[in-house]
Amino acid sequence: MRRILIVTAIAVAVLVITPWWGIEKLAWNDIKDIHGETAAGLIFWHIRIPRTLTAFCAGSVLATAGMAFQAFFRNPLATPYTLGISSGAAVGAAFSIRLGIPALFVVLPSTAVFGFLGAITCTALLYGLIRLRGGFSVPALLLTGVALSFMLSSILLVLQYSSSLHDSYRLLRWMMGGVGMVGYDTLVIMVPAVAIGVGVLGYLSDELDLLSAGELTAMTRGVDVSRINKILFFTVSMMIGVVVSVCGPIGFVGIMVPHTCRLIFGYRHRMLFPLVALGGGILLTLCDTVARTIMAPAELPVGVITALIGGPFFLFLIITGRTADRVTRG
Amino acid sequence: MTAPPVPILECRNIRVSAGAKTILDDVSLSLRPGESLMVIGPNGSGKTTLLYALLGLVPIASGQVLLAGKPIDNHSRLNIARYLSYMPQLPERPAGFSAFEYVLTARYARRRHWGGYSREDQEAAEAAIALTGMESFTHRPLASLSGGELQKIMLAAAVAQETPVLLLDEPAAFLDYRHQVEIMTLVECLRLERNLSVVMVTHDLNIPFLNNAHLLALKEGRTLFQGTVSDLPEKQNLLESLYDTAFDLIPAGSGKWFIRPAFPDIRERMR
Repeated sequence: MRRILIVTAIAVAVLVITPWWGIEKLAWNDIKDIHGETAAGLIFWHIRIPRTLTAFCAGSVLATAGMAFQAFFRNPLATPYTLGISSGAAVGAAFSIRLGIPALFVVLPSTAVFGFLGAITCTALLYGLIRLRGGFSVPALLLTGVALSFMLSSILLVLQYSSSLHDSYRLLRWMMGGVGMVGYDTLVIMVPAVAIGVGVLGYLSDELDLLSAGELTAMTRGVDVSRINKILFFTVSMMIGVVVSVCGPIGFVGIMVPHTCRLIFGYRHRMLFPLVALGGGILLTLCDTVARTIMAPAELPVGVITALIGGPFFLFLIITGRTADRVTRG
Repeated sequence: MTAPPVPILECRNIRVSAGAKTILDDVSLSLRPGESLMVIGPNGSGKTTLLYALLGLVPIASGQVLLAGKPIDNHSRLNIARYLSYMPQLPERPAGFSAFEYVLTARYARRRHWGGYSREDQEAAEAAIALTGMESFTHRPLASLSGGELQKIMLAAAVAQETPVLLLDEPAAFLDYRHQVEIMTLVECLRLERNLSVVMVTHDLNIPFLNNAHLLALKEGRTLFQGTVSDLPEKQNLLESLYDTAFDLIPAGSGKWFIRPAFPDIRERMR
């Protein structure tokens, strides 16, 4: 319990402090202007605050979704990003941008809905392949993810090449992964997605423990595995669909945060999931702060920063053999 | 006179197939509280599949499995886990969990839904670990345990599940003598003290024969014989045809026999 309080305190500190950093220096008086009538007030309340909150929500989603996938596939390298699910969401979202599909039911942005459809299609495809083979070794699983990502990247390229110059640039910038283009309107969909997603995964902590112990073990201990799998797929696809449609595919948060948290806090998901959710938020918020200040006045996409930190981390896991090379059963 | 207790687990003429291949054919058994059943037979004769069928993990082509008088398909997985606990032959070894955390997951079917595992669940897990004599391993990671230690933790988990029936798939395979004795003794104690029913797959014929246990002998998915084998010499042919190998019988005193596979005289053969 104390650990959760400490990590929550860090998270709050990060959320309060990071909006002050940036190209434009802000003074205490500037932020009294909540309605954004001055330039400084506008920057703080209408650009930096929604951006910080979006980064935090996206980080939470990516980290908890990674944690759920690692339990489900019994592999610390499995995340929606490494298995191509994020690419699926990206293709879905890009499709809706390319075709100019309007918002569904007025409130739901079509990018989020199509992102979700892309993500869930990919998850179902991957799971189907695993079942068909009656189990995948870890390398085979990761290679399948790589193959899926390549295929989907090509589709993305086709979509991009066939777009107008303006749409093409928008797609490219978005595909690199960033939280730059957000306002409060994106938060309206992000916050519920995070709340529902993290809530569902948290509620299923004991089931995640058992799934990570093995599907057979889980079933004989009383878990309705096929039902839980469906809920997990649906929830993770929803979370990833929404986040990718807003921020593009951002990698490695889903590997670094759960792994580090497991080392510090142990493997039980009931303890793990709130810490992973907070940790993911903290990491992505900090990465985004670096991304928008390190090359000021230019801005890097945050996906570049996470990949620069996460890539070596991923290699470290492979080289030190922490990937627990074992067969996953579908 | 009291009526005989109803079977808690029963299967009637079940057939299980995988594709065109029949794995189990016309197998029946019934298990009352406190009874034990040893399943014997050569590799690939369908012993593990029988346990899976009893657990409702494989689809049954014909016949039925009844748990507490109700078809197994009418039970939820949660409900099945309140009746049957299962100790796999080659357990999936979950990375990262400590022995205690692993045993605690066996309380899943007994936990309060919202609060997670309660103090009562933790105590049950600790008690089960103590019963198997593994207290000093409570907080050790599973990955660091030896084969025998891991088997005992698996048994502790099955005990912690607090089910009336234990299904054990070769619980003493690959273990040294001390661990074999400890595991077999513990299972027998549990059966007698807690009136548990036990289904055990085993390759050790001496254990069932010396104890006059109930047997189910499977060969190529069919029942070769069933019941107690008190007069072993008469059944020697049957056993030899079960395993397709010759057996030696060695008198164990008081009308009992040890049985062991007969090894050919290699020098004779090489001449």
